[in-house]
Amino acid sequence: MLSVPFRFGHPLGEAHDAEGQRRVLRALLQLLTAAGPGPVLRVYRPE
Amino acid sequence: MADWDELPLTYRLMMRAYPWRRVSPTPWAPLRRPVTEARIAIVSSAGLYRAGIDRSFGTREGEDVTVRWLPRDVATMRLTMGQTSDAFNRAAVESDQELALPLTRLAELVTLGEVGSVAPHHVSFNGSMLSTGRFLRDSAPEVAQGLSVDQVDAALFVPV
Repeated sequence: MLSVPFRFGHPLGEAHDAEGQRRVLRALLQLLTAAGPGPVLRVYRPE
Repeated sequence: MADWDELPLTYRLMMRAYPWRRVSPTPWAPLRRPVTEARIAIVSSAGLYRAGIDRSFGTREGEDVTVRWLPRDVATMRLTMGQTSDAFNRAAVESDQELALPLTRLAELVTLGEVGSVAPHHVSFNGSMLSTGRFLRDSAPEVAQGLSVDQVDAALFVPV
């Protein structure tokens, strides 16, 4: 399981903050390639 | 996922007593190509749907395990949130649906060359459900089949 924690009700950060939302998406996409082999629990906190 | 400390006390108590499902072994499929070549889909539990086009989600909390398929070019700002939980402040997602279904953001990453492509269809369901077994039995196979038909390499789950 790969996860990025967020403030409850703000799964990709702040509303109308396009750059911040892209930053969270990038963090998720990095996890896709950084993890493995096999299932892991990894939490990534974007800056 | 949200941090534990943010949950209201009633939800923390409920979650301590909740009969969590244990899945073993954990399903795992490594990404088969670089993200810059991968087709990505979004799976959102915000219960977003197109009012007047899609069936709305049931209002009885925990009962509706169905999914809605949203096309890649859907106008996210026009989507209605059908999530029935009262555990979080809905204002942010209702103000900017990209927070829960970031299709525009994902398309921007494609334009920037950071992602291969956006999948043609994306998945929305009401994450406030108690019948997770029904979801796994009745809806998860439909989701897996649909994403497979669309040749999706990875799905990003945005929990709400």
